[in-house]
Amino acid sequence: MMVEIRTILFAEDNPRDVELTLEALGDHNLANNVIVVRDGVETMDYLHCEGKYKQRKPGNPAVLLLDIKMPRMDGIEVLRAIRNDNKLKMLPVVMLTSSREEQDLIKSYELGVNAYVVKPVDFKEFIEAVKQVGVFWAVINEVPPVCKLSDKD
Amino acid sequence: MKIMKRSSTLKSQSKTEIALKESEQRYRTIMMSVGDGVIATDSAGRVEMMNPVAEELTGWKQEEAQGNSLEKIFQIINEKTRQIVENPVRRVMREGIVVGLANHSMLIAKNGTEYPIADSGAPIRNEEGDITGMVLVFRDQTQERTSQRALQESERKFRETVTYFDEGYYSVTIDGLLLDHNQAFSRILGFDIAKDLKGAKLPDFWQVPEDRKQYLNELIAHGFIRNYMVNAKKINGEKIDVMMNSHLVKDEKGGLVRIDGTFTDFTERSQAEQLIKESERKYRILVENSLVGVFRTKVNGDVDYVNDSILRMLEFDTREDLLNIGALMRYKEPKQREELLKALKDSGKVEGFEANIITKKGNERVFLMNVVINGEILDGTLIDITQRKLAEEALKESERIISEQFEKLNEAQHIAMIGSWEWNLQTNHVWWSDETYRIFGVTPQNFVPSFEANGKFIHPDDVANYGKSFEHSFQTGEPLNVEFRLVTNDGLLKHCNGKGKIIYDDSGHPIRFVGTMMDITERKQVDQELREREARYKTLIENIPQKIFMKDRDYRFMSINENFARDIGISPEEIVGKLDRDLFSNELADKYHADDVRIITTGETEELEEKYVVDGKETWVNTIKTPVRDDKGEIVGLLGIFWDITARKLAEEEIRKLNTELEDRVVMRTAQLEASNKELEAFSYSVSHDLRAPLRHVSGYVELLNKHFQSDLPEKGLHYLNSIGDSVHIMGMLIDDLLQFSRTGRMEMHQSDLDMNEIVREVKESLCKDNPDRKIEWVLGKLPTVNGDEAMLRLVWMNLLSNAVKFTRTRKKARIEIGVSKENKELVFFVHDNGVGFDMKYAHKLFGVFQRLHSTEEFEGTGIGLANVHRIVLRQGGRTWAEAEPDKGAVFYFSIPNK
Repeated sequence: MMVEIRTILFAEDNPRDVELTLEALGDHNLANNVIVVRDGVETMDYLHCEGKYKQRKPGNPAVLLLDIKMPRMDGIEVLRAIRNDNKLKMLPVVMLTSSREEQDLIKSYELGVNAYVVKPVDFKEFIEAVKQVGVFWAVINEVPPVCKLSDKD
Repeated sequence: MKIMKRSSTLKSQSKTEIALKESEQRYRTIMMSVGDGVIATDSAGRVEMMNPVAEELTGWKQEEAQGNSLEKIFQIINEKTRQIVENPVRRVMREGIVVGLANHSMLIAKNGTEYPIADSGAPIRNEEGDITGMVLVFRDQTQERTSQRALQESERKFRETVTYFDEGYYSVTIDGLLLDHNQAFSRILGFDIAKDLKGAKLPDFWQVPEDRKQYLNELIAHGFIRNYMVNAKKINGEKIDVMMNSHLVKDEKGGLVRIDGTFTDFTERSQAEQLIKESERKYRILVENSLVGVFRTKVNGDVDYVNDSILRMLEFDTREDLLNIGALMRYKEPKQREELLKALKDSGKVEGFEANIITKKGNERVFLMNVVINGEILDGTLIDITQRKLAEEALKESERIISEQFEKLNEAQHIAMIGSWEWNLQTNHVWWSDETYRIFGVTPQNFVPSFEANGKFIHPDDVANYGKSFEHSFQTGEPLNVEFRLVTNDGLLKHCNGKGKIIYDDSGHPIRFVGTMMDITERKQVDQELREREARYKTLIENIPQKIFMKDRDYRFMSINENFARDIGISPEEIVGKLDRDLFSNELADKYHADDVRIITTGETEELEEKYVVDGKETWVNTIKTPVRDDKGEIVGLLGIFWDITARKLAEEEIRKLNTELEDRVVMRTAQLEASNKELEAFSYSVSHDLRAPLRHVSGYVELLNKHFQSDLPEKGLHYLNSIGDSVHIMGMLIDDLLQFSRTGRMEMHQSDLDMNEIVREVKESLCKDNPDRKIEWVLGKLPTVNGDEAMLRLVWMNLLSNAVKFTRTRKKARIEIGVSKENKELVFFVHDNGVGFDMKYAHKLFGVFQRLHSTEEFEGTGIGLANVHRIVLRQGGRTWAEAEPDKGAVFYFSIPNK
């Protein structure tokens, strides 16, 4: 029985984080369906099918893994934009960040984040955390109706 | 004289003539002796005769006056206008009536003396009614009493000279049988005088039978008949005229019993008789017109004769009235009549008897009566003295009122201690009121006041001034007002105030000096006390450093003290009536005035700090303004006291400035702090994100190296990789602890009441779970509830207890005791362990960041824990400290303020 792997949108500006994160996801065959965007603006372009993502296949990802500290438009701004957008507001968003700063936690939850994960410094712990997040959001979790529909293409 | 002569020729005439002559004589006597002046003239108005009073008043003797016109002898003018008044004689002649003289007439005597007079004139007519002359009666009103006395005297003489008529008397039954008669009866009717006619039938002496019928009708109708003229006849048929007076006598049942009567022969008349009649008429008129009432009655009250005056006096309209009524005088008190009759019986005559009589018209009058009794006959005169009595009564009443008022005045004077006095400057007599005597300490019995005698009581030092004051009044006419001291007989010293005024007569001569005398000793004493008290207050007010002022309701200054006066450069005397605007700038004056108005309006005392300018310098004063009330509680002004507070104000200003500066500095520092806090926040934010990322990458790649190339690395290479991994781990812990420490400094605190027992228990349990191998004896004392931030205090306990667990690790038997002690203002918590302890010389480093007293090899740790404890406890308002000895355990203390 084939497990359905859904698209993960991964917003991260640091290439080492991207590499290590994809390494972690790759261990569980989750890496193939990961789309990496480098900052908030690119994230929104992807979601709105704009800019270099004009030609992409329409449809929302199963989850957005969102770093907070990014150039141009940070994670909090992206989250706010998504929650204010009728077509995107139900999109599952998981903060994946170095910080456990209280202000970030509060803001994120106020804006309706679905999960908040601090990347552990220890790599074993990091891999474990990323794996769990990937499996849960990309496999176990039922996506909102719009996502499902768009995903059928 | 002519008349006199005529009458003397009649001596040998009949008895009727004699009667007439007597009557004439009687009237003459009256006329000659009457108190009124009487002048008779002929028809041409020439004087025929005057009585002595007339002679006296006019100054003309009868002999001189006879034949002169009345106007010459009797010269009258109007008292007010001094115009000659028409002589009444002319009017009488012209109009033939009785006339009274105009009011306010003055008679000018021969020698020029003037008399106010009342008079009347009446015409004299003969039988035919022609005017043959005039009689003028007048009286001197200036000597009312004298003339009254003269009148009384003349009446007395009149009474003596009156002789009896020779009247016939009879008493007869209704059937005409003669019951009684006198000799005169027989003589007049021609009977033998000696013969007794009793029992005989009364002879029919009526000439005309109808006359008798009429006579009887009248008699029956009235019960009596008076002066009834009858044409009768004597027994021998000779015709005679008689005048009858009769009355009916009735029995108890009212049946007619008899008729009693008298009559007089009126038959014989001659020319001389006529003359005499004429003369008599004159006198009768005189009597009728005089102001004296003349009467003759019987003791039983029957009236024989009255003159017109008495009828007027008794207010009978006509003689008929009197006939109808029958009684002349009605006494108010019947007793009076009894008294009169008794006195008459005792002495034969009564003079000056005062009778209260009710007139026919019901008015009460007082008459002065002179009466003579002669058998059954009363002859008398009446003078109306009602007015005089009323005047006397009024005088008595006013005297009574005056004396009553005088009593009251005396009493009032006594109460007020004011006496009065009067100095008659003509007689030099001095009169004092009772109180004046009292003030001088003398009595009317032992002291006779006079200007000289009074002076002896005056205090020697005051005598000169006393005398001078009187002199001044005499010279200038100004009222006297002098204060002086008296030394009374008893040696008492009294202060007195004398006031007075000179009264002048019409020609400007001083006649009296009247005034008052007041004992002001008490007032003087009070004055003195008041003055002393005032002086004390004045001294006080002048000496206190405060400035004081008083204003009236119109906000005008009434007084100020010297201290204030000096400030504004005006004397306390000059200040009266001034307004704030006269003393201060408009701005200040307006402010002061507004305060004054408010205080007078509300009646509340106020304390104000306000500006004040002295010597051109602006200062600050503290002012207390309070309303001033009179006895009735009405606000009559305000009192103000103020003093300089400039120094205090300056100090306050300085403090205020410093405070402002301090605040500014605080604001600045706070801003700086906030800015640095922000930076710190940004810094730790950065640290949190950016410092951990490379660590994570190092850790990641070390792991990937291990995973993918472990077999390619020599053993040393693997060791290096492990060392890198450990360092990264430690670095991660350090960063986490540092971030935690930073947060405890910045985090907002949420205070609530916390049960410390529960927190300690939870922390202890979590530690036990983490160290399942450890055997620790926990000694937990009972802890109080404190107010604080739960998360922070939990962190405090966690750090302290985990330390205690950590540093007792080497002990076989670990013991950790937790307790509290209540100090003055704080709760002191402690954690006592039996661990490795430390050297107290490093105690000051204990709570510093990254300070460690043990090597990481011995005991792991970052050196952040106690720094966190210290920072949290500080933020909760407490302190931290510790006591220890190497290897002998340690005690960590922290305190929380006790509320």
